[in-house]
Amino acid sequence: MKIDLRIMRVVLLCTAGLLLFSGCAAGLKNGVKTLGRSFRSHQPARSDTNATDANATQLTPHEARLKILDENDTQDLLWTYKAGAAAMDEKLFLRSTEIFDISEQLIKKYDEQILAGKFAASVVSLLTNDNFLDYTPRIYEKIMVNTYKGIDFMLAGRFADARVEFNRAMVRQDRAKEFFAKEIEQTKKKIKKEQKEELKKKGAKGSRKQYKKTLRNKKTLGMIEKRYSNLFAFKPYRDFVNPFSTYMAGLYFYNVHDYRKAEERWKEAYGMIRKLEKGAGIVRRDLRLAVAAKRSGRKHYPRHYTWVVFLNGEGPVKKDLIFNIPLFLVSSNIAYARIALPTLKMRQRAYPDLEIRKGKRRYKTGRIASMDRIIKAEFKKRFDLVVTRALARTVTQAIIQKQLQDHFGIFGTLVGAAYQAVMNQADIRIWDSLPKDFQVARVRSGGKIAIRAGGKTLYTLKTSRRRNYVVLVRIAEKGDQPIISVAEFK
Amino acid sequence: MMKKGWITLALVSLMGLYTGCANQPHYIDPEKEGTSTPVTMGLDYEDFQRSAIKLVDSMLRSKYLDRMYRMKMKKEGKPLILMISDFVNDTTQRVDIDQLVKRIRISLLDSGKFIITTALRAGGAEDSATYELRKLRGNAEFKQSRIAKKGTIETPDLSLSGKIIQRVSKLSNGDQRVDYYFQMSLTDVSSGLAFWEGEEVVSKAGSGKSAPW
Repeated sequence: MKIDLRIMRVVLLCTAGLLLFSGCAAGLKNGVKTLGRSFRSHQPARSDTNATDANATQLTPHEARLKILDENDTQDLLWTYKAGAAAMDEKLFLRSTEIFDISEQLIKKYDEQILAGKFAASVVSLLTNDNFLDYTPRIYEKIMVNTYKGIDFMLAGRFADARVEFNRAMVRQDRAKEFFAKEIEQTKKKIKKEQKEELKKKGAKGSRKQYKKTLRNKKTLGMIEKRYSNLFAFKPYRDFVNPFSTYMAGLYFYNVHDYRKAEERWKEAYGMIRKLEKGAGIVRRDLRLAVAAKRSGRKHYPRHYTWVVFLNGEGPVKKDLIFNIPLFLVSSNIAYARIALPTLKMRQRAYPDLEIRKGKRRYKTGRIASMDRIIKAEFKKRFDLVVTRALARTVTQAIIQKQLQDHFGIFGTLVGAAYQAVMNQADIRIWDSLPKDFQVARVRSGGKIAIRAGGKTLYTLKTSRRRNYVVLVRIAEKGDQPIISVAEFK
Repeated sequence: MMKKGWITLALVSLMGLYTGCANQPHYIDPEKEGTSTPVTMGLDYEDFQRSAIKLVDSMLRSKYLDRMYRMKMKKEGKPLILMISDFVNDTTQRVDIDQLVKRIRISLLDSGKFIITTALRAGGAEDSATYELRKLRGNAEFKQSRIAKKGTIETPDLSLSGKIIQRVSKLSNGDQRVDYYFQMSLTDVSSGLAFWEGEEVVSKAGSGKSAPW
């Protein structure tokens, strides 16, 4: 009876291994896509770093956005991000808010699950390749979803709805630190539990010593740290905040004449970026304006301004970094295994800044927030966990593989190798349509205002002296057709 | 043996009950605790209903208002004319503030002390028909004698404005508490003085696992 079971197990494992192999042979992407639906999908079609589809490279940015919108994969969080942003760029502002509403539903589902300590939705364990799991939200994404929705509503003229979204973005920022701590704690617990279960399921035995030695090996960690030292050398904003979101909330409140709230938000935003961003001076001037407007005691401050908000360039993408790490499976014998870890690859700004011309006067936009910095900061905070997971996964697999080999010889090796090849992929999914940085300029309203970049006029706006305007300029890549939307306020 | 089984069963079901209820959102109004269970940490129908009723009750009890009403009835034989002004939703909930306002308007009209003007509202007329009809002056197709004369739209005596504010706080057990403040003011538009102000607080406590919307 015992032998029968063993044979059964070998047959099963071989079949699984072969299945996985056949998937890999045809290109890992396809093989995995059937298992983890959202695996590396929705990469920007035109981006040179990720374009694998030859046809996709032919798409213009506009076509690429329509293609994303067409996919309508409402179960995939990453799709909702990209489609929401695409709809915004296509000036389908209300459609964009609807899609981001779905993002929020998926985020809520995830938040509730993770903090309850269950990952009910994922049948696959944390010890499998991350790409098999549903994409999980990052804190900066949650904040950006509400910020984008706020901007959408503002541009659609639905100011009361915009207020709700900016309020939400601010609540998310307030909760971020606490939530993150809980999330990390729960994930760590889960990994530990699953290590045990995974080994038990496969009938293998692993000792705590084996894990400890590999996971806490100074040489391994030092080697990894070294490769990331450049990426991690930067000054972050304080805990998870996004100065752009806070600034935009202030801008919104100012323009709906809630000067007290505008002052609060701009004061906060200024505190976040003082000494960090060149545009801090612009925010300080806005802050003074809000104070003056508040002190005037008037409901509508009589001076009117036009703000140009520039969403510049493209945020980072992720790629694999490969390491050979020692595994301490048996005390006397060190084996090596290949692991892949994700890293961030920065992309370009579209232009260093925008020039605003009004009459003979010239102004320049100044950077008030860097999305790169925000994404890097969270990446760094999560990095320990990513390494722990990758190492734990590798040790678990290695133990299983070794014991397969010991028991079943060549068959076991084959199955184990197939398993490892698939499992050792880094999760390089990311919301890749975010800008690289955010810039702002403010000029008095009245007459023609020209927005220029690279020596060319991109847009001219006729302004009334009795109106405030917010002009949103999105340029992802140099030379792209700029996307410009204007909100007008009485 | 039998006894042990019963005890285990009771314990298990108790645990089930406990885990089932621990994080359900619940009202923490000491007066009415347990009368109903809110569906969400957000604002729902019942919150509007309760707050509207309480605010209107408080408004109708106001002595200033009553005096004003009597004076107007004595002088002109008409109830007070009320205009609906700004209502701001300063929460993280996407709610239709008109829903709240409507409930209040209905109750105020029912009281017989108020008439509400739809010809004027912050940001423009609520019912544009009043103005549309006046545009027909001089239009030969319409019976001119029945088109309102100039200076016939009633000017309001009072204006009603309001705001919903939200405060989120963390409780020591990790849950969160959300307070919604329904605030309203009734202003005498000729003097700019507020005749009545009211505040109703809806407080909910529940799971702190996700954002309260």
